[in-house]
Order: sequence, then C-alpha cells, then structure tokens
Amino acid sequence: MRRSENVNLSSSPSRTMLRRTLFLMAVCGILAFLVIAARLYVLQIKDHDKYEELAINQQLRETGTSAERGTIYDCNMNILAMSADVENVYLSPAEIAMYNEDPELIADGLSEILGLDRQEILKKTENNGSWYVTVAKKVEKETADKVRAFKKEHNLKGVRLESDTKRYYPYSSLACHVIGFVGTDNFGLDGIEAQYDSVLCGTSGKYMRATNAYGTDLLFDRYEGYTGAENGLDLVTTIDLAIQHYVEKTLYQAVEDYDIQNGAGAIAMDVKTGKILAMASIGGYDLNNFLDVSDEAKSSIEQAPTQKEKDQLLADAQRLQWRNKTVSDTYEPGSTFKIITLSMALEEGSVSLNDSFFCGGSVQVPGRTNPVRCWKTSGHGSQTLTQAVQHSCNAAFVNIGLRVGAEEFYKYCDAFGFLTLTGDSTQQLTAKTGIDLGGESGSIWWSEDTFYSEKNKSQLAAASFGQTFTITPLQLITAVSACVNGGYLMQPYVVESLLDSDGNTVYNHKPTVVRQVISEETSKTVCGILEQVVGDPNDGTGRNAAVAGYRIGGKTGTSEKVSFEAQTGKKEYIVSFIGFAPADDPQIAILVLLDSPGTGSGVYVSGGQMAAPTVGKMFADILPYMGIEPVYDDNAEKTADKAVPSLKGLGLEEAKQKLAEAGFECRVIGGGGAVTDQLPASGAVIAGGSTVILYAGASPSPELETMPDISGMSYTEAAQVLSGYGLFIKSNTSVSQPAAQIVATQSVRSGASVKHGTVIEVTLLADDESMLGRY
Amino acid sequence: MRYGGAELRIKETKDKTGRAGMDISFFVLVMVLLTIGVTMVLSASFARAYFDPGGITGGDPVYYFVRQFIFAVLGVAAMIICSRLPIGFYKRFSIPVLIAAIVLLMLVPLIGVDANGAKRWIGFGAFTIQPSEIAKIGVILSFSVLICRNRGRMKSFRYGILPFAAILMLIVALLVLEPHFSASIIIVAIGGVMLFLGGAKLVWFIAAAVAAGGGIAVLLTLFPYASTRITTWRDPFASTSDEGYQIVQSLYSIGSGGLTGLGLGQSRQKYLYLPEEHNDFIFSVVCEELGFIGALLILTLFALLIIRGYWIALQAADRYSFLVSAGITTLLAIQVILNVAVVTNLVPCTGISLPFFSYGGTALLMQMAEMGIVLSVSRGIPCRGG
Repeated sequence: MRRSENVNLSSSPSRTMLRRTLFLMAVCGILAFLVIAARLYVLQIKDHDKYEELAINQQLRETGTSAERGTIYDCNMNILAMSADVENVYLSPAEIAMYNEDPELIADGLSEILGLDRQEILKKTENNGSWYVTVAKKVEKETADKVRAFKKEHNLKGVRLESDTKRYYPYSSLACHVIGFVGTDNFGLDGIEAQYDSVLCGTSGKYMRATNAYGTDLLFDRYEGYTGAENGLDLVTTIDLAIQHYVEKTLYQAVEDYDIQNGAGAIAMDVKTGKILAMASIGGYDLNNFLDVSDEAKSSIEQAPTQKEKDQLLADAQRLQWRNKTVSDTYEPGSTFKIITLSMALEEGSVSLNDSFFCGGSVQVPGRTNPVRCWKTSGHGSQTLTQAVQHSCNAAFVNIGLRVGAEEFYKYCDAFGFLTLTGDSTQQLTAKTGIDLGGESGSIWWSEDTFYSEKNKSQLAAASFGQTFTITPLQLITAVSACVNGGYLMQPYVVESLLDSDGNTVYNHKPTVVRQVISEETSKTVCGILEQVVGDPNDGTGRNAAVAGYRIGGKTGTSEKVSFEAQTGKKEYIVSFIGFAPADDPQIAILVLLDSPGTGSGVYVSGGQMAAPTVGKMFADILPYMGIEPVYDDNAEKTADKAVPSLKGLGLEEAKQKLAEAGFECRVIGGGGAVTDQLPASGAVIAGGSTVILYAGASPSPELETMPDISGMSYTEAAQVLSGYGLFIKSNTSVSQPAAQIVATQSVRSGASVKHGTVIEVTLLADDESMLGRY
Repeated sequence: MRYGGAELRIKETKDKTGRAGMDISFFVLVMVLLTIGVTMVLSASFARAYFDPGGITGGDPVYYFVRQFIFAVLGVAAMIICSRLPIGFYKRFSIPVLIAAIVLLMLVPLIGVDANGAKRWIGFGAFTIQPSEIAKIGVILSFSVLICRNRGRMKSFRYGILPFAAILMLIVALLVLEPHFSASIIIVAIGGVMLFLGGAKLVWFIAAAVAAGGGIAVLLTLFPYASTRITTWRDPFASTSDEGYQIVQSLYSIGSGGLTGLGLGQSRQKYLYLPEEHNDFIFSVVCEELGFIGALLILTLFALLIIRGYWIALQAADRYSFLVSAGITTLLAIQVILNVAVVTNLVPCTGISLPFFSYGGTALLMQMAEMGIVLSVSRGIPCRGG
C-alpha cells in the first residue's frame, strides 16, 4: 500500500490527461454554459411576454364583487323576481387531512345544520386531493351563520363558505312563463330572465389579486387591481300583478271545471299600446323550484321501468311545464279569426252592414267536391252582416272571404302580422310578432301559389273562418287589438322600462305602431258588431261572456285539432274566446284558449260554452280593478251584485230602511227591537234583490246545511232553492235572462257542509239550442 | 527518498515556503455561491414554509432557511477541515469510502426511508443521508487510485475498463433498485469522465455511448415512469403528469423573470405554484427574482468555479490529486449543468439538486467537503515563485 502510494504520488499527470482536462474545461466550463445562457435568453427575453402572461393568469384571481342581478317588477312596482345573498358551503378535504380535522365531527355537524345525509358528507371528506367539494349550494344566511359558528367553535379550516346569490320569486308560479328563471350560475334560462339576461346581470366587478396556488392571498400584495361591479338594471314589466292573478285564477278554475286535458293559455293585452298585461299558460310551475314537476307527472315518472326512461319523462315534463303556450304553440284559430276576415272585408268595402247573407247549412266552393258545411247544418237562413257574425256563420264567411279575394286576403294577413309576403310565391309563409320574449313560434300559411289558385278556392274559403293555417295566440290577440283600437297594429311587448340602481329610467319602451291596417271608422264598425256577439242575449254566440254593467265585444272559436286527429284518429278541440272591453272605447283584450276539454264536465264542448264564460269572469274581476265603472240600466241595476251593509246593533226599522236603500229584501227572525246578527255578514257581495236575514234577539242556527245540487237549474230556480237553505247566490257571469240561463258550475260542490249565510258563486250558461254548436 | 517529492512538499507546508497555499479564488467563489444559495433558500422556501401545505414547518417561515444556514456553517467548517487534510489521507481512504458506499447502497432496500415510491435515504436518528451522494465521491476517489495503480495499462480493456465497469455496474444496479435514475446517470457520467481523464482509449467511449443508447432504450421500456418523462419533456404543456406541471411552472417562473427579474424575494411562482421551489427547482426562482442578468451572473460564477477547479487540477502536484480534483470539478459541473438544463426543460425532468442552492443538509455538507478536497489539492500545488 505504502509502496503503490509512493509510485502514484510521484507521477505527474500525462499529456493526454492534461489535454483531456482542457477539453472538459472547454465543454463543462464554457460550452455547456453558453447553451444554457442561450436557452435562458429564449425563455426570459424572447418568450418573456408569453410566460409572464401565463403566469399572471394563474396567479391572479378575480373575486369578491359579483354584480347584483336586477330586480324584475310588475307595472306597479311589485317585485316579481329579486336576488338575495346566500352562501355556498363547501369542504376542502385536502385541508381536513392536512390539519387532521375529524371527518366524523364535520359530517355530524354539517348534516345536522344543513339537514343532509351524514354518510354523503363523510364520503366527501375522503377526497383529500381536492380543495373544493360542494356540500350545499345557495344556503340562506341564517343557516350559513350556523355553519360559521360550528366552524369557529371547532376551528375547522376544511369547512368553508363562499358568497353567492339566489333568485327569489315572491309569487312563485304567477306569470312564470313571462318571468322565467335563472340557473344555479345565475344565468337567465327562460322568459324575461333569459331575454334580458345581459341587462339584468350587469357587469361583475373584478377584484384582481395575486394569490398563491391555493387561492389565498400572498404575503405581500404586489398585484392588485379593482374595477367596480356594475349592478344589473332593474326591469319594469308591463305585467299587472292583479290582472295576472285574476287571469290565472280564472284560467285554473276553467281547466278544472271543463276537464281540460292539454293545458290552457290566456293573454290580456292593452289594446292601445300592445302591452302584455297578463300572460298565462297551464301547466305552470313554481319559479323557485323550476325543476319540480307536477305530482301527476311525478307519479307517471315513478312508474317508468328504467332510469333512462325516467330521465326522459322528467325532461319532457319539465319542457312541457316551461312551454309558454301563448307564444310557442301555434293552432288553427277557428272562428275567432272571423274578426280579421270581417275587418278586411269592411275596410275593402267588400261587405257593408246592410248586406244580407243566406245560409242553407252549406256552401259550394270552386275546387271542392264536398260543400263547406256551416256548424249549424240546418242553416241560419237569411242574416244581416251583424247576424252572420253573431251566429258565427261559416257559410256567410266563406262568402265574405271569396268577395275579398285571395290576394287581398293575404295582403291583409301580411298587414295584420300573420304572415310576411315574400317574393317567392311557392314558399310556405310565416311571421312572428317579435315580442321581447324567447321561444316565439312562427305561423304557417299556404304558399301564395296554392292560396291564390283560381280553380281551387277551398284554402281561401277555409281561411275565411280561421282554418287550414296555424298562428300563435299572441298573433291573434295582437291583430284583434288592431281591429278594435282604431286600426293600429301595435308591437306587443312585456318590458316597459329599465331602471338603474338609483331608480332612474335608462330605457323606456314607447308603444310602437307597426302600421295602420284598417281605418278608425272600420274599427268602430267592427267593435259595434262584435259587441252584439256578446251583448245580444238572444242571438249572440258569445253571450256567455257578458258581464252586467259592461259593454263587452268578442268572438268565440272552436277549432278541431286537425293534425292531431290525422295522427291519432281522436277528435280534440281547442275552444277559445277573444273579448275586449269597453266596446265603445276598447282598453283591454283577453284571449283564452282551452286545449282539449274532456267530456267529464258535462258542458257542451265549444268556445261559447267554455271559453266565453271564462273570459267573462276575468272581465268581471279586471274591469272594476282597472277603474272602469259599470253602467247598469234600471233592470240590471236591481240584480247587479252588491255588498251587504253592516246592520248589527241598528234598530230594526233603521236596518230595514238601510237594506231597502241598498237594494235588498229582508226577513226578520226573532222578536227583539234591534239587529243582533245578520246573514250574510256585512261586506258579502250577493245579487241585488236577494233577501237578507236579520236576527233580532235571535242567533243564526249553528247547524250546517248540506249543499244542494243546483247545476242545471235556471238562475231563478237556483236562487230560490238556495234561499231555502239560508244560502245566498252570486253569479260570476251576467244575469241577462234569469229564467233561461242555467247554472253550469257552483263554488261549493253538492253534498258539502256549508254554514248558513254562505254566498254560493255560480257560473251561468245560456244553454238554449241556438248555442249548441262548434263555432 | 525515492518518491520523496510529495512527502517533501508535505513537510514543506510546515515552513510555508514552497507551497502556494489554499486557492483563494476557488475558496471565494465557493463562499459567494454558498451565500447566494442560502439567501435564495430563504427567499424560495419562505412561502411554502409559511403556508405549510405539507404540515412540516408548522408555519414557521424561516424553517427551511434556519436549517440550511446551520448546514452551511457546518459545511464551511467541513470544507476548511477537508482542505487541511493532506491528500494522502484521502488516498488512504479512497477504496474504503467506495466499499462503505456500496454497503450503504445495499442497506437502502432493507432499512431505507420510503418517499414518493422510492427508497433513497438512510436515516441515522435525526439525520438522513443519501448513500448515492457517498457513492459519487467514492467513485471519484477510488477510480483515481485505481487509475494511478493501473498506470501504463489504462489503454488495455482488462485493466483500463473492466474493473471500473464492474464497479459502476454494481452501483448502478443498486441505484436502479431504489430506483434513482438521476443518480445513476451522474455516477455513470462521472465514472466515464474519470476513465476519460485516466487515459482510457477513446474507442471505448464510443462503444459506451452506443451501449448507453441501448441501455437507455431498455430502461425506458422497463420503467414506464421514465418514458412518460420523455413525452412530458417534448411537450410539457400537453402533459397532465406531475413532472409536466413542474416543468410548466418552472418555465412560467423563468420566463416571467424577464431581463431584470421581479426582485429578490418577489417571486410569485414560489407561492405554492412551483413544486420543489427551494429544492430541485430553486434556480427557477433565481431566474424569476433576479432575471436574466442575475441568472447569468450566477451561472458565470459557477463557470468560473468549474474552470478554476480544472485549473487547480491541471496544476496538481501528482496524478492522484489531479484526478480527484478534476473528478470533483466535473461532478460539480455535471450537477449544475443538468440541474439548469432540467429546469429550463433542455433535458427531460429528473431530480438533480443545484449545488450550494438546493435545500438539503447532508448533500450540502458533502458538496462543501468535496470543495475542501479540491482546496486540499490546491494547497499541494508547487509554488512557482518558490
């Protein structure tokens, strides 16, 4: 060892060794470093901007200041939709593991506070590679405070909260199809929420700050930027909550009363401006839980065999309940369209009020082998123009349509917004109103070539009474409004104005006249004729829509679902009624359509028997609300509904006098000198002329009565029967012929127990033979 | 004395006339780099230590720095002690060090500490050491002795290649068991360089290069984790692996540094974006904070240190000293170059620490001791003036 050491130590490195060392020195000391320097130059100088941007992108977080979504109001500033602050609760399993926090404790605490499944929370704590696992979204502040207290108590870093906003709809399902809803990300998905999303959502502010990879602040804030959030604008709709409520209430009642199978729709429009005052579609849904479907749909989903089918059924049910029938569905309007045919014929001078039309039950049309039948197969005989409309006579209207001529007919349809004429005469025609709501469908009309055919006028003939084309309910009410408002086709709209957070109006929708279609004079004539449809208690097919004290015009419609029948072989109808009031100065129009009434109600399936009374009831509520005073003639005045005055404590004579002044009869029970009680209670609205029971020293019998079945009785008869039970009658529809109108529905079902003095509301129907037909 | 040159000189150190003394340039360069390195550990580790996502530091922001600083002080002491020891001391322990390294490597699979699916450390109480670190210096020292012994026979296969290759294969085999890919590469590289310096025929290196190519191919197929590293290297942005994330974050750091950097302590990437920021990827933080200029300055210091190391080797009094100092210098160079090449994605990602910078007590201690050995060699340089 010693020796070899000496040997080696004595020797100097060889020349080769030195040469190779110099080589290494050049490679490891210089060359390699030059390569590295070049690489650094590329990364740090040449591509600096690229990497810096990428780095900053990941280092900067935008947080804190989401813009507040605007509130949606009805036209009287009632809140329809608003946002409230809520919080999301989430777990950071990585931190739970890191700080050795007890998952059991967390699961226990959170499941108790949030009412969630303990096992599920426990499972979420296990994913310790994650920093964000949602436990509960959009938790109310109170609950969030409890979570915060729990977190603080046990010093839990792995339980976290973040702020979010939630959309509230105070009136849940009211006007749901107009308002629409937002998704969990607060992005508008339907209705106004979707259509005006960009306006409502505002611009979220950017609070930029540099953070570490886990999103918490750096130790030294070097990078910070702030742009304030701009809150979304508030939005005032044209919807009037009260009108919407009346419309929906009555429409739901109609769906129940008439055993409606396939939903219903209603629109109330300000005829002078095109404002949508109310818009309803059934089935509706609760905007606060827009994913929930009806119990009926749920039970059929339950029965589906596979999960896939269940999902499909659920998705279908959701789509169906979200669908706004009045805007998205098209239908053959049927006889309600006669208003349009009438208007154009009058405007063109093709017909005049003095013209006479003969109906023999059917009419021959060139190009058709079978004659077009009138709904009344025995024929209407000779009629004036007004009578032809009152009767809704198809034969007369075929005649009127042929007089107008196909090209003129289409020209007017174009002007009324039902279709848009294009240069291409072979093309099917369509149009939309352009309302500020999503999901609007377009109409479908025959091509000009087909419609203008000289040889075959069956399309024109059928179109004259509203068949062989489809339009949306919105198109119809918009056009009818033009027919009665002086001839001006208005652009329909639902958003009135936009307000900034200080309440200043930044945008105001002015009513837009699309065009004048008919003259004011023609419009007046149309109003006059249509008022006769409702107001004439003998000839009007719309008389079931009459409301005592008001001048109402309108037109019924009953359309066969032709394409549905072709597909399924089943005969179904859409019954409808469009009315407007007051007829001498129209302000509001209401269209109601009921899709596929069942036979269960016992009421004859037609627009006149089902849709007309529905619209009548709506007017009865809405017109007084709108401040339009009823004007009664002497006879109507007596029987009009009146409120019972307060009589308790008054002397008997004084009470009697007061009752007589109010237009009521009276019956006294008991021998006292002063009124100790009364039936019905003060404030109850009952038919004028009813007998009010005064108790003098006696009390009303506490016994309950069994409600009799009064349906099918005449009004007079029913009133008598009820008074025998100590019950009172009030009609929702006009009592024009008390002896002839029969009770169609009663507010308390027969067999139910009722207290003495209860006011029974009834719907009356003119039910004579002249009314029974699909018109 | 027959071979009294060295002994004479050893004696001469005592009267301080015939020797050049410790190489001051080399010493100063080491101290400067160490100072910068420890400072950078403070800067780079600060955020991780503070946020403490791994639950190690307890939120003490200077946790890593304090430990590295203590080891730096110990390292300087180790360097000075090593520089004082005569070169003959190292020679005597060259072979035993190698044997010790191999024994420790064999122990690793038995008593090693498991970390990230690999066993690379052995713990002695609070201390953990990497036997591969000892193997590196063991290879340098033992090969130097063997090369000196086989003087004149180095061009033969039997004496110039075979024994060395056998040792390397044994060590690499043990390292592959861990597995420790980067240490294998470094050991093979340093072994090859020793043979190269020792005068082995160049043709063997060509053959070795071919064999290495084949070997790498085999390794890549045998160890899937190695081949994914190749794809990650080619397009780190498309990779979803941890290495890909590391490299991308490293490139973000380096690139966002720009010409002048964000300033010392101002790295943003170190805020838990960049993994291993005080460790293998500390140079990325250097680039981000000190910019292109600062990075070049530090690289220049390294280059100067390496050149100075070779210069000392060239001046060395004897063949053993020459081989040892050139070997250590090359080891330093390989680690620096590979580390920077990895963080800049010039070569595929593998864990190589940056000498004097990367956090790690025993590794730093070893590096400082190695520097001490070079300084010891520099002490032996005959004084020209004398």
